[in-house]
Amino acid sequence: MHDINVNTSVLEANQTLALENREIFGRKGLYVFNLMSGPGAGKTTLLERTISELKDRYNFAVIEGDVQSDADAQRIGRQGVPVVQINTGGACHLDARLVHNHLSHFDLDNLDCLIIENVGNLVCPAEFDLGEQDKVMLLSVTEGDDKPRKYPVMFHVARLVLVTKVDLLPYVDFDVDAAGKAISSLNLDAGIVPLSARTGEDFSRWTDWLSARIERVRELSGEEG
Amino acid sequence: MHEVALASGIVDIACDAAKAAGAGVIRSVHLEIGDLTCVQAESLDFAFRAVSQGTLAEGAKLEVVSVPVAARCQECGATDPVEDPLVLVCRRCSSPRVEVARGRELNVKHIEVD
Repeated sequence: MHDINVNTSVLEANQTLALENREIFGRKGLYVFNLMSGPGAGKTTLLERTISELKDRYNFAVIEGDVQSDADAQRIGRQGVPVVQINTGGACHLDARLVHNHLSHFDLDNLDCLIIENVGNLVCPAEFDLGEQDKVMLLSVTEGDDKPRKYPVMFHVARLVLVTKVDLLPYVDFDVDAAGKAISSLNLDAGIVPLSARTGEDFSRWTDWLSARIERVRELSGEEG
Repeated sequence: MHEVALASGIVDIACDAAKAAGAGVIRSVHLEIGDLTCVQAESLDFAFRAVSQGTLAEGAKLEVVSVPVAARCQECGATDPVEDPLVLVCRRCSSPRVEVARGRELNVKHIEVD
């Protein structure tokens, strides 16, 4: 018996493709974010309102990741933007290869923002880089303010945490300040925006943030090109 | 659930290394897994046994060394293990301006072959 030194990251194959995706997005001046949360936190509702409010200014496209069904793709499709559904068939997350294989569905040259709605899962998607510029995550007030402490990994990697469904705050025991403190102690740099996609409360804080990110990536690619 | 995806990656990496070395069978696969990853060692072991069937890694023992979380302070530059991974602060100067230095590892370190 003898020993072979390997020293290879298990995620290397995914990482290689993620870098390839990132290079493509950079070259096209395309802003891409990976939207993650547990199931039912309101990702699709957030996207419906986001696209509805911003689609006159920017060209959006959406990749929908779900274990089964194209229900979400149909909802997003009604906004009149290109959408492709990926059914993972049991897998709990999207990976860089799945995203890579579906990019040909879009006219990337004429897009400003590609949104990747990950499979609803507060654990696994955090591990897999898709080549996105930002990871944006949702924490709904109905899930409870203890989630950052129970599922810390996703909060570690998020650039922005949207605390959703704040219109339901009168009916649930969710302490927005406590949740904010728990998130900051895991990730000091994460922005935290409480909002409601249903009523529109504080929604402009999110759309302003998103618009600034889209413009920034566009400027960067303009400088290089 | 993503332990299956990770186990497939581990089997691929181990088999590639074994084939490159001209080995006939893999006896053990040694991993380094950070405490900040969402990997459950028992599930990984179960998935590994399932996906390694029919490969050079079939029957190989999976050995896992866990890596405690350590943070690098952006204020004083020190890298130390953190007392509580849920409250990332520098042990020396108490600054919250820290970044994760260790704890996210998911590496195949070495394999034993015949």
